[in-house]
Amino acid sequence: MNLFKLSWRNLIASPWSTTLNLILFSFGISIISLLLTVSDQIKTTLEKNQANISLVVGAKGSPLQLILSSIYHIDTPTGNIALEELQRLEKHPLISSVIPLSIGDNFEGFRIVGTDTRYPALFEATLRQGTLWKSPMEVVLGSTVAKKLHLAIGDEFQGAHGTEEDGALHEEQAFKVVGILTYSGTVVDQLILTDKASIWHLHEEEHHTHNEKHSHEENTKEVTAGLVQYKSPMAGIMLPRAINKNTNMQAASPTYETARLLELLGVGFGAIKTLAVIIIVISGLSIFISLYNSLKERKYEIAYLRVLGAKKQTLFGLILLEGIIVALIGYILGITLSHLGMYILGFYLEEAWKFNFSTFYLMKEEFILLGIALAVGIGAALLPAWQAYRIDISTTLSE
Amino acid sequence: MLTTHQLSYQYTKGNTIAFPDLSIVEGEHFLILGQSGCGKTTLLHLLSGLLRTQKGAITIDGTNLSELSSKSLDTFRGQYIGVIFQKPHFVKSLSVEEHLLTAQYLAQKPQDRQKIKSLLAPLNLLSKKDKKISQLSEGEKQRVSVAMALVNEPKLILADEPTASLDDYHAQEVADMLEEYASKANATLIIVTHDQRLKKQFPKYLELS
Repeated sequence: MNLFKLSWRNLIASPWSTTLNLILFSFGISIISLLLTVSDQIKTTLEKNQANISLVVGAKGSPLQLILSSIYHIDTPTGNIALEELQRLEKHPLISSVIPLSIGDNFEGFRIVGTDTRYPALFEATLRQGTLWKSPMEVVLGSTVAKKLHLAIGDEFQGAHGTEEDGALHEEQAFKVVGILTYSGTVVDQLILTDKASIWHLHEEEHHTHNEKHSHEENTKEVTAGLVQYKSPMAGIMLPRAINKNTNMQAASPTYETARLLELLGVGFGAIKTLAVIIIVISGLSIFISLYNSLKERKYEIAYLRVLGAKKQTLFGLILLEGIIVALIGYILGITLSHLGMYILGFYLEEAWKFNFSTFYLMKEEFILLGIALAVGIGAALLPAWQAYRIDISTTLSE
Repeated sequence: MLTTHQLSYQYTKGNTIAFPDLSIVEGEHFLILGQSGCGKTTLLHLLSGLLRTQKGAITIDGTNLSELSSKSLDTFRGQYIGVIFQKPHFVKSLSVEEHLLTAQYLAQKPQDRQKIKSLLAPLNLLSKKDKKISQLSEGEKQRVSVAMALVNEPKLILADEPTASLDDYHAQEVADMLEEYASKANATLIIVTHDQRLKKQFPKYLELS
């Protein structure tokens, strides 16, 4: 027998209230831990995928949509812009490079991105197998794409129209896999890269066969967006405004837009976090009430333990330990629950955020959470423990 | 073994009660008789250190109880004194064996399951050792409280009204049991009671008035 075992016996002697306390406590902990992990992962994902892109230019519309579609490949593009305009922009003395992007097709839900060979270099993605594309209709696969679709070099497939699955197939032309990239932990893993000319190639064919009318000249090449890298940070002060004012394009800053996005998410996260804190406070209250109530019943037990030689301090510790044990088990359950939930959520988030979520690590904040959990457990048990300390054995036993 | 000197106790309500001096030798079986309200429970609580001595002195086996700190008094009680109550209190979540292990743990003695077995066997409790107290009969509960008082081999056993609510037959049985186990353990036995029936069995007594 020892103090821990005594506390433990007392806890399992009232299984229903202990279970309720554990459920409440672990629920609060798991929501907070889930929020911490999700927001941390989203933040790192957003930051990691920004690479060194200083500015994104694309068709006029929502700047956030432009960033989401052309950097993170989550939203639909805002529209098309003329390649000529991008080429003109690239000659600007403050700009070091403009990488064109053509988005609008997919294969099995993975986006096919027409660009040039500087794009994979942005994310420091290197080739694991094969080569980069040399002519239109040759593709290089991100590592997740290759793994999930079981594609190898030499395989051919037909792209589908649109950025989501189930678009109409481009039946006449097939893409051919010429290379596979190494895993980079960025959005490139989830993309199929090809030369921007491939997209023109496909869509020109289509216009012929489907006899669609277009509103623009055949020889005007179009892309979806351009990823701009500055030569000097000075450019950031004047370029965006100049582009927005003087061209048909809009300029959006990834840092600014993601900060705005995180701020928007933060409001939601803040609300859920408040809810979780309330749950933890309630569970602390519930631990307090069940200890306090059981103490009325256990008054004689406690006096009897004193008769057997227990010191006041020992009984104080006994009750305190009960609060600590509930908090500790609640914490472990909560953290396990949140990481399990994260693991399940990961499958969904990978699709939605184009990123592989890692779930089995503890964040620094989760250790702080352990401290908070213990503090709640101790706080809830403090008053009952003090009462146990002060119990007058003589009066209690004469009752 | 146990002596008291000019012991008195003042209740919070104000009235004071003075106790005659006691001098009990080692191994003696002694009866303290008195009607309810004469302060015999107070005396028992003073002797067992459940109440702090206010005036006068209690010396048990050479130790003056009022000289002990609160912590050492608790330990002293655990190691030297076994108390048996009229209505025994137990810890609802513990089995019989766990109760005895707890008693050993709290008195800072080695936890000895073998010793517990040899204590439970003659009390006919061996088959009940894994049972919770709530699953026991009244007689079994009484015997567990005797086992609890004996497990740490105390020098002094204090019994509070052990026979009060029992009929003649069972009162005799309990008195015999207390006498037998106290003698076997070579412990001093003090029974505090209003039960005049016990006078036949314990010739040495003191009547409080």
